[in-house]
Amino acid sequence: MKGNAQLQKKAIEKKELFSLKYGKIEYSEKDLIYMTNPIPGFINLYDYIVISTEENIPFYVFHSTEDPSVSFIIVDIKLFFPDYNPNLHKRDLKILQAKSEKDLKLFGIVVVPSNPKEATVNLKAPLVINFEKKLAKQIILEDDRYEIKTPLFKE
Amino acid sequence: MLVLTRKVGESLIIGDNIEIKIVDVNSRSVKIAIDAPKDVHVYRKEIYEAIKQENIEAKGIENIISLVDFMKKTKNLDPKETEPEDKGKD
Repeated sequence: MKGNAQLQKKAIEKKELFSLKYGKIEYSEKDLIYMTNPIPGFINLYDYIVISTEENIPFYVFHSTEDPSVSFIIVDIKLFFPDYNPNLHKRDLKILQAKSEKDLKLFGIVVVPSNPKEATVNLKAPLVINFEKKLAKQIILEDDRYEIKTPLFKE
Repeated sequence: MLVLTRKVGESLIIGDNIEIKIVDVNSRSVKIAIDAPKDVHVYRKEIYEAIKQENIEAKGIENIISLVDFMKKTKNLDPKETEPEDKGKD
């Protein structure tokens, strides 16, 4: 029982991250999302948090807690592309401990050039998160319908 | 790098649990079957590299403020209400 109480205490204990882009960020252990497979290009990083602020909606920041310089802008793909419905491999559902695709949320990693109108989102490799299990993976789709550089905004 | 010669139908074992089998060969391509544990990912290299480059780019020039500002501006633009840009000049 005592061990359990300690675990719970640890889970809510405040931690600090000094992000190079966003400054001081407070989080706790229970906020951590663990990459079952690290993001390609960042293979040593496993722990991330999703930073959500009212003024940035519908965008979120996916920030490494292990490297203060690593963060991504992500967006709920369905908001921009309601028809987005890639076939996920059963293997990936298992890896993410999801019973069905309903347990998973699909985010797109956004690239913002100097002209934000030309922002693109990667629909070929969505960042798939199981919030309940706090697991994530960037899934590279076999699906040829989706592009790495998909314009976020219509012409 | 280790280089080996295999015939169609022959395999390689990497570690204890990854098997790579040559299924078919013709003058321009090789068909390969791979049996690996589920945590081992197999990708076509050019696709993996393209995703990796995109991630590095996304991390490098990320600018959420300009993106959010742009979204807000676009949202506020109601086509019916849009006024000509030069209004007020004269």
